[in-house]
Amino acid sequence: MTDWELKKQMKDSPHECMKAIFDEYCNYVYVIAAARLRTCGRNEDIEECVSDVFAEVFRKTDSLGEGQGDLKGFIGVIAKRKAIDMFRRLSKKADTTVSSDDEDFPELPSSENIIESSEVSERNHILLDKIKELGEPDTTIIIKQYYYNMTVAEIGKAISMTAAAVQKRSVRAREKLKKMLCEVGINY
Amino acid sequence: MKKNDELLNGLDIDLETADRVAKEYPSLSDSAKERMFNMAKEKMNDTNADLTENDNSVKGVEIYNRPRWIKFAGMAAAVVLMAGGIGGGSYLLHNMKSTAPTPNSSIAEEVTTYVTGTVTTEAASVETTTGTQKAVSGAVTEVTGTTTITTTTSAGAADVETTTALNVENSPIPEEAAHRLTDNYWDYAYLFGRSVRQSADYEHTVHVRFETPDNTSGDPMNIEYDKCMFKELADRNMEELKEYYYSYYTADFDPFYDPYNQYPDDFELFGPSFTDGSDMTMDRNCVYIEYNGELYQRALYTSYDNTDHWTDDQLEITNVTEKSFTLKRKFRNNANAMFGDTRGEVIFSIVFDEGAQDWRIDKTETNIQYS
Repeated sequence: MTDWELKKQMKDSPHECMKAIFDEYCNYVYVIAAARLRTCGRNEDIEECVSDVFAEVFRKTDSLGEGQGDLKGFIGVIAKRKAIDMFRRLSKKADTTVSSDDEDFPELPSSENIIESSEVSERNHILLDKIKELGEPDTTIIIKQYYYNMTVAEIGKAISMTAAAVQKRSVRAREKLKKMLCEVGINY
Repeated sequence: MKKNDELLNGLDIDLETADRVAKEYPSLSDSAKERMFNMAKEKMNDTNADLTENDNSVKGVEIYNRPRWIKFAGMAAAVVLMAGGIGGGSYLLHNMKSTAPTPNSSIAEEVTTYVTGTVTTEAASVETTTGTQKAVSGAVTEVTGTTTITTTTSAGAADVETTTALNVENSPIPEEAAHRLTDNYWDYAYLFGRSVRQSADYEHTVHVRFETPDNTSGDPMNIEYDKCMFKELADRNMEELKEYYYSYYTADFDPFYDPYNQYPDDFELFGPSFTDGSDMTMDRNCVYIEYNGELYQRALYTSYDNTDHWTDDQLEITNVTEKSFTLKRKFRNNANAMFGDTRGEVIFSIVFDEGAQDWRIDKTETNIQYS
């Protein structure tokens, strides 16, 4: 959906438009937020962040430039920024402020750092490919567990498995994934 | 367990990967999506409400109906102002035309008081500033290294008079009178005084006995008179001399004014008339006598060539009133037997003589500067 289409539909039927946007990009935003907040927040925090992202997206539809860029990029940028804001807020609340000099400090990606962004993108691309090479149901388990921050119980319920089975398959899948990544030069 | 997983804890997902995951593995349940959507809508509405909470909107235009009477009131006020301006202006113009004083007749009522004191050791001179203030100054004053001797000839006794000052400075009358009375001043000034200029015919001499004892011998004075040879006085008798004198001076003018009290106050200008064989005796000291119808003047030893003359400086006329004015003229004296090159000024008080119906010299004051 382009900006122009969005604005036109937003004018004609705002509720349907918002619903359509949300359905289209909900998972996308959720994955972005979860990747950032999964180490410091709960699922409620991720959902809170997702709702913040869409609230801002809905508010800013009027200010979008006509015919410039697509909505996905726009929503993605807002999602990343909102996730970072939420990460900082949650870290402060949990008194888990980390120094930027610490090795554990998760580096905040900058869209202006093209080299770093390319490397991250390439690594993520390889990682996702290797996850897909794990095969089902391991791929689904790992995707839901790490990209959607779901618990083994939730995953088990989604794929009709017990939580214990999901846990076992997850452990094996991660071991296998490490080996696969080592083969392509990515060490953890 | 999963929080400590080293494999994916440091996951920094890029937008492309996130898009791939979302599309290929959409994992959110409908309930979760519905929950987040409602939350987003609620936040959007709350935020909009916060943003518009303090907004004020103005709609519509309130039409102001100006009262119609203001227009007519304004017109009426303008007409009144214009009429007042025109009427007032014309009234003032007319009024000023009829009462505007002409330069020669404008009257400024001022009270001028002349004070002349009876002088014992110093002459009282009257200085006039602007016609409203008078001050009495000493006769001898020091002026930056030069000595100024002021000799005042005045009517004498103290008197106080009040005149009405008239602003007639633009009138040509004072200037004409000043020229007529003083242009030939040096021709007649020394004819009327104690030390008159000598130009006598010593072949025609008469002696008149003056009963007053001489200061040195104690005998009555025997005063010598010589026949006048002045061109101004030649062929004149006593009456004509008086006429000549009074054509310049008022009756109050004192030709023997003696500021330093050097001489006994027994001089008279016009003496008695004698004829051949009459008693040549007189009871007063006179400058001129008449003998056989001719003028004889007292023989004094002050003969010298007087070369006093006016300089080219302009006449200075001040204190002009309807009946008087003050004239100052500067003069210069070429060096002679008695004085070196001297300069000075004569201050004339000129008044309108009612008897003669003309201007006459009432007082003179001669200031001489000896450099």
